[in-house]
Amino acid sequence: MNGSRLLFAANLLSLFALAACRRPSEPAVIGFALPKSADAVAAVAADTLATDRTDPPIRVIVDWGSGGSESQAEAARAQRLVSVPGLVGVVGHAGSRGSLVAAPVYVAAGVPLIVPTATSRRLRDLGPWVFMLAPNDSLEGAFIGAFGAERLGVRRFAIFYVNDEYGAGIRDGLKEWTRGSVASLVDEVPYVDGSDLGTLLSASLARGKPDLLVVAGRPNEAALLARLVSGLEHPIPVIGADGTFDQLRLFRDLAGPIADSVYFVSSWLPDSADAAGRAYLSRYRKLNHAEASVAEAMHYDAVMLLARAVREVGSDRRRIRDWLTSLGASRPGYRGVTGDISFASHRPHRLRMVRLRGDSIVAADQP
Amino acid sequence: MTITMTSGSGRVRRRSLSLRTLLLLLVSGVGVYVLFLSLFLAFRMHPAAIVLRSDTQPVLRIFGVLTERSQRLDAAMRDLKGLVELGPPGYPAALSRLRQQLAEVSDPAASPIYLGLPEAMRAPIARADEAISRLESGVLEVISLLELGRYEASRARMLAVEALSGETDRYLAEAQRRGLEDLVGRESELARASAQALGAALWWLLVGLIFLPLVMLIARRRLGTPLEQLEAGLARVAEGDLHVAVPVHHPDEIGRLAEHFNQMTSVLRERAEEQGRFAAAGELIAGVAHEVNNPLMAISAVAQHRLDDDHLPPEYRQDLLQVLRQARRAGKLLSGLLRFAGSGGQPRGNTANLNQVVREAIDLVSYQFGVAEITLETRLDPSIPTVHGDPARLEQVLVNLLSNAVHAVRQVSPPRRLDLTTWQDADGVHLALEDNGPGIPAPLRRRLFRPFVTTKGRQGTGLGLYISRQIVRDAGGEITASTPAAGGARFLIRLRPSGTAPAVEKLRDLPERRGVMPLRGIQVLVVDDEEALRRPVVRFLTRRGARVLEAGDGVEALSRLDEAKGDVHAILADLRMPRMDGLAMHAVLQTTRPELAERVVFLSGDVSHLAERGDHAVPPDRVLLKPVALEEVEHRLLQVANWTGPTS
Repeated sequence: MNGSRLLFAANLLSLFALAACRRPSEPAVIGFALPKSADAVAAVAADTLATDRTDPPIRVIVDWGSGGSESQAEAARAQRLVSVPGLVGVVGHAGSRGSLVAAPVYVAAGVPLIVPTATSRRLRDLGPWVFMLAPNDSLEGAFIGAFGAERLGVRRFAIFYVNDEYGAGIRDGLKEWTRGSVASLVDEVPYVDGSDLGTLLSASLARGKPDLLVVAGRPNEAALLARLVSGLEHPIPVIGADGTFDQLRLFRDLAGPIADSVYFVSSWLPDSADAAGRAYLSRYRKLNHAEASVAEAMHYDAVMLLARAVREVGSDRRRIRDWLTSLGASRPGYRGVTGDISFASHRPHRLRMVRLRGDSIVAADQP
Repeated sequence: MTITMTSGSGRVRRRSLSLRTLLLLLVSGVGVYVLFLSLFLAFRMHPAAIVLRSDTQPVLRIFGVLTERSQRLDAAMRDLKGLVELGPPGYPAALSRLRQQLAEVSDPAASPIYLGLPEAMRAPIARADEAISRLESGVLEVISLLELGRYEASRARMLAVEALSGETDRYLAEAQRRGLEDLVGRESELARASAQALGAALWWLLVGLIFLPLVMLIARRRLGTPLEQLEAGLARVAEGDLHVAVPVHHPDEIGRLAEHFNQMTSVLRERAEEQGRFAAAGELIAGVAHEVNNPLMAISAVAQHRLDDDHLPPEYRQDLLQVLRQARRAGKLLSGLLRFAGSGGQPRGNTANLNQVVREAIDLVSYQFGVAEITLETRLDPSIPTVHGDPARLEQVLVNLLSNAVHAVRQVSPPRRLDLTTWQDADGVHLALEDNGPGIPAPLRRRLFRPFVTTKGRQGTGLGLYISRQIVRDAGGEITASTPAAGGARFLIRLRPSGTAPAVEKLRDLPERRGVMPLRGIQVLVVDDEEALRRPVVRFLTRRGARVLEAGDGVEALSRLDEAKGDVHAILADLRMPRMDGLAMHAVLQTTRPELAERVVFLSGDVSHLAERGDHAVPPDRVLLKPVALEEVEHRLLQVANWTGPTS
């Protein structure tokens, strides 16, 4: 038994079996294919479902991955999950590339996959079994461009993006938006883990003389770039795409005092949460002794959405898929923590531009 | 494929699949065979081919994209390495061009989509893609260092990028190896599927070859053989053999066809025998008529001769008149019978006086009216023109209709009534015959004129109306039947008029007597083997002033002619005589004394045999049918003798 199998066995032990023992039906299993950092929200979801008394009982099985490269890990994780008995759907995976690699496995097995945070528009090409919660990168790129041009009044954009499907997707969305705009994308810089961001930034500033820096990457990269920009003689505003907002604590720790100067794209504003949202936040706080991030709220919504589908139509995966497809079309959207969820072709986007104010997240796009 | 069953009577009865079911089964079997083979080949070969094609295409496309990206990166790296080695002062334009090249390399359309990829290929290709992305970023970093003038740092970074390039090549090679393995595996699967399909197809064809003779045998037994026998039977029937019967192998459609064929030949055989009996009866009637006509002629001649005696007591005269009337009535009936019986196949002309035809037909069947208490009412329009059609055949139609009508009205209680009407309108000349019988049974109305349809059971042939319709149609007319609301049946015949002139009613009255001795100066030879007939005729002619020679047959007549003193102006000869009959004698005269041959008047009790002697045909107007009035004999002799009176 190799290492990955041992790890998988360990993961199985971490099942959050929350259904009552008396229930006679086979449990409906929801796969949770997100990084280990998402265990906090998994715990909240499991805690919520523990109070559920519907038949069949719903369980959440968590697979944290087995190492290796991102693509390799996500593909292997998908393979493990589709073999779990009673699987009715999967929430995951982390990042656009991971989701793109893993999704074909679910499509082939006929398992509904809810992708909570990945934004690559190419996910839409994977067929009827894949459901994106977040707006796609084309929308997000256009949203960032419009905010920069209209609210910040900038005209010269530079984008630093992680060189994968996520970063390239945001870049393409922004580039596409600038084609019909007074603003222009003066520089685009792909980077990877280990890239010398300082050098790349210096060269980009010298080359393109941008007046806005867009970062489509991870929180640590956004924090580093924000710090570098703040040290310039003439600092320019920094907008972080949704991926940079995933781990708020990490970003705060790395960015330090300049954290409040960065704009972020978010699909949810926790302070505007309704009763359900507040209950979620409270439960999260109680279980994890910390504040929930936007990404975690979306993960939670994805799990609860699948659970709701099971309650509505049972454990048949095709019926679950059809039920999900009908949201916002033949039936009203699902009211989640982060707002109304639907998969209609022209659903309204929920993007907000936010900033940090101390421990709070505040809207930046409000007058 | 038969099922043998025992019926309640203990007789073994075989029940076979119907031919339709058998054919359906055979066709279905062949269809299933072909379909199964096709489907097997399709399902065995198609998925492997599809998988090979569908999975190979995205692999090749992605490899193409990755290879192109890698090659462009390699080219960019070569240029970049040169720039790094050149060091200061730097070449911004070249760096800008390199950056542009790299931007093209990272075209979003070039990024891989994993949906169509084989599962084993996804991770290697993703790793290769990630490695290329890292290489791109590394190259861009070196470019940035050069742009910033940090040449030493760029050299160090370039070394790292070169190492990364090697790693990228390894990943690409690994991905290509996996792709190749996958492709080879799929091709092997296709080859295996092809081999399996070929083997299975051969087996299947072998099975088909085994079953083919069975199918052919079944088809031969159930179709071929019965049809051949049926065809042979039909051929024999066409040759006139009505005693043929084909075997009934199976109670299927062809078996039923064979049964119908056998029934048909049986019916035809019965009909033919019936026809033969009818023909024989006709000949018998003709012979009997001839034999009866001679005594009738003798009776009427003797009676007439005696009536010429002015001293005959009145009571005798009345008796003799009654004898003469009855003899003539009997003669008339017989002549009608002879005409009817002898008319088969012998047309009497192309036009007919319909009223005359009606009267003659009535004469034939009228003897039944009195017995059956039938009242016949005729309304014959004397102004109707002649019609197209053979009088003899039209008379046959009328006799048939009248006979049917008589048969029908006999089934009802008196009064029994027949109405016969002729008239003309714009559509033609019409004849309607109505009766007050039970009418035409509803089931028979639509097929009344079809062959073998009869209401008389075994008494009827079922051919009368069928033939009647053929005759009327041959004449260009039509015959219809209906059931009047008042009851009974009504037959309507429509015929085409042959001209506009009304038919002249020929009333065959006896010729007017021409004085006391109209034959004075004429020498007549009377030739008849029946002395009982010849003698009264001779006495009559003698009394009418003729010099009469007598002969018992043709030979004697020729002798008498040779011996005769003076001219013989006319010859009255019987047709049937021993040694030399009238026609033979006439033939001799045509050769030896043609002028005398033109003066022969024939007496006959039966005209039917005239048709048999076509080579010695005589003009019909020179044949007198027995019994004939002696005045008619006198009249005809004067005509042929062309005698206008004694020359003195």
